Amino acid sequence: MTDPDIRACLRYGWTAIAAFLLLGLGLESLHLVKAPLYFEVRIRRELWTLAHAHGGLLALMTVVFGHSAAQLMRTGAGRRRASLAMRIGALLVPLGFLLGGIGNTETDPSLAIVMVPLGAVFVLHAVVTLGIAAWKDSPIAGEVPTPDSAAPPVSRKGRKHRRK
Amino acid sequence: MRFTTGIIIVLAAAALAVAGVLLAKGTFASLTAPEHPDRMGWATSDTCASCHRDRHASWHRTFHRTMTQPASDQSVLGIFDGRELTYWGRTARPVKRDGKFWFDYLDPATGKTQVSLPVLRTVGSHRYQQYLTQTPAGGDTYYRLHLLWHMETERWVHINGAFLSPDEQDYDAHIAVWNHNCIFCHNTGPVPNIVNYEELGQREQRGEPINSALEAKYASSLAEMGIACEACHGPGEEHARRNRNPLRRYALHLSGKPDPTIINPARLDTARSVDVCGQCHGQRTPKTPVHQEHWITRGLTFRAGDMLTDHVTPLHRDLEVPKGINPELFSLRFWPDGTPRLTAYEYQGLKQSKCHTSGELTCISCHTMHDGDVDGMLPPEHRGNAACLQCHEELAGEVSAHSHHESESAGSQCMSCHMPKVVFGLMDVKRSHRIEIPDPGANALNGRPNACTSCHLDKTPVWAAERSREWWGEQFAAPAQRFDGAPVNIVDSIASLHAGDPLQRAIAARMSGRGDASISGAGRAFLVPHLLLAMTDNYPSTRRLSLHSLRSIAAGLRHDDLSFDTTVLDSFDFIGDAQTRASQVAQVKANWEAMNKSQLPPPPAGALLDSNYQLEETAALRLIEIGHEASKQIDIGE
Repeated sequence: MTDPDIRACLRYGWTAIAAFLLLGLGLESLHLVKAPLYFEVRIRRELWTLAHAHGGLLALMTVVFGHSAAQLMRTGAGRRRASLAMRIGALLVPLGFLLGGIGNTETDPSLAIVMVPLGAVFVLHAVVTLGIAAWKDSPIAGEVPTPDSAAPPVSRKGRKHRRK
Repeated sequence: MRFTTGIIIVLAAAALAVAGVLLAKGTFASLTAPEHPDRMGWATSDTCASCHRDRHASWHRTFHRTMTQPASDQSVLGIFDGRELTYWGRTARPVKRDGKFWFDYLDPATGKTQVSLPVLRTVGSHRYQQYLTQTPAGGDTYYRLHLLWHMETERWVHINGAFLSPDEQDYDAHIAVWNHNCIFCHNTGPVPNIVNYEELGQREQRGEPINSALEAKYASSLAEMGIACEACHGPGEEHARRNRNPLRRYALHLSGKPDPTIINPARLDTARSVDVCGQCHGQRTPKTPVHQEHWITRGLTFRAGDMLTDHVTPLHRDLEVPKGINPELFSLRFWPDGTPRLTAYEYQGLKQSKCHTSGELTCISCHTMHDGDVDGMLPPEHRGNAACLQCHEELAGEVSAHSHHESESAGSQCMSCHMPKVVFGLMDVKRSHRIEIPDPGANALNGRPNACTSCHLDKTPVWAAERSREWWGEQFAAPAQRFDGAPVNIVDSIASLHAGDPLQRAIAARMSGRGDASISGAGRAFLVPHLLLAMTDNYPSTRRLSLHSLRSIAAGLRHDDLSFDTTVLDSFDFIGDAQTRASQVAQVKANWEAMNKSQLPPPPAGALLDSNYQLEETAALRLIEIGHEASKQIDIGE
């Protein structure tokens, strides 16, 4: 588990879980004091709640992603790209919601909301990549993927061939 | 593989570019103003809520929304418990049967139910609630019924007693057809749609008598029941349709330009802004016969954002009355100096105010539809001087020096003097919306109440004019006479209570009991015999407001450990049997006369009382005679 991409995922994941828990606490406090800037602007309340929920959920997903990638993804380059996409996506989505609730109008979030679909594309890329790896690219038992593993990917076809 | 990927990327980019160009083209086209703004469709508040949820919620709590509602357990506020209510010789019984609300009208001869009318709709939910019904023969015609529910006193009131009308009335005097009256201002997008308009017109041209209340047939429709978003923002269907395009929305947000498909009163110029409210808070007639026909068939032509005077003629004191109608129909709705004296003329009052004509004051400078207190639609700070200090900032911190009154007193509240309570409506007395410099001398000459003596209840108009001259300049001359001919050396509140015209009497009665007057407790005792006399007035409104004030004064006396028994007034019904009322008043009068008055201060000069608080009845009755001689009978509904 010393792979830097995996560690980066875990580092981001746990840090973000802490950060978005704190954000949740902050939102509760705003509720507690009925802060007008939050309490009386429905769209901001909604966006910041979404930021809190998505931030927390995606942080958890990043942790899970890190663990899964360690198990499922053999190539360093692919893992690096997917890990980076996961972290960028997990950051952009809640950030888009959070900043979308600043400078928003009565009916729409601010333009920062474009970060949300952008972040979603990154997350989708990471998840799909991991999903494909799960179907296609499972490491052989006992083999631990390394950051710069020179081992060629072993396809099912390859495994079949080797069994022969 | 790379070639295939490249092809996919190029095709996707091309498709995105085409979609982008089409969307952008549509966006730019949709930023222009609608081609036919007068034909835009209505969307209803539910559609508005999908984007403007905060605004919708802030409107939803208002009494505007509940102005007209289908009758239901939630909307009906009156108590339909089957009690019998006899007024003006007829008995009605509000009763709930089979989950529905009914008014049973009893046969005077047999006492049995003659007709039962179902309550189908309610009008009002704040001060009082009126009820609408349909008759089997009336088709789609809704009729306003006789009894209303008064929230403050939690009782049924016959409409004759709620409006400013004398005792001598018919039981059915204020029955009205909703479809061509109330429908306009109490709903959104109203279309009366008289279906036999042409036929009635032809009959009228042939000289045949027409009873439009019974003969007009309607197929009325509403965009929405009650006063909803589009009453003030204009029809919203096009706005909702165009704004499904996110590029359009963001283009508007970023440009800061107004959306041409919807009206925001805050972005209108001052004239058009007040016109939005003025469409209902300013009684008016259609501008031309063409407008009139449009109103009664296809609905109002005015839309928020228009100039109101392109569509209507706001009523004013000197407006010519159509032939065949009471020539004083309009003039009696204004004080002789042109100031409106009824509610629903706030627009006219504002249009007479220098703050609007020479300044930038609009309705929403003080009022708000989406914030603050729904009672008056005012943010809390605008109930005080902050409202005026928005513009008159030079007076901040100097109000007491300007007003010559204690800084915390009612006399240092801008509105006490510049927007005095001289307007009758909704069974109470309200502030004038003509923002003016008070001139007690001119007011006495013009026969209208004035700010000074409405608070200084023990003073004469001469006293008020002299103080004004002393404090604010020579332009304030003492009046040589009152409009009604009553002597000017009589306490103004008393002269107005007895010698004023019906509206002046009602206002004087109400002001006598105001809680923020310059005198309180025993200092107001001199008003007791006068209010008892006013409780025999021939206008129910004056009797009711006199009772209200008498109770307030009696409570003040009790606070000073001075009291007389007024228990019998608990059952005083201002529209009840005349003999019973007279007997109750006589009983309280006897109690008052028996009271030891040694603890009371001497009555003020000009109060028509001797030193023992005995009423100088001849002089008081003479004032009443003067009033009857000088004033016209007023019979005004809403």
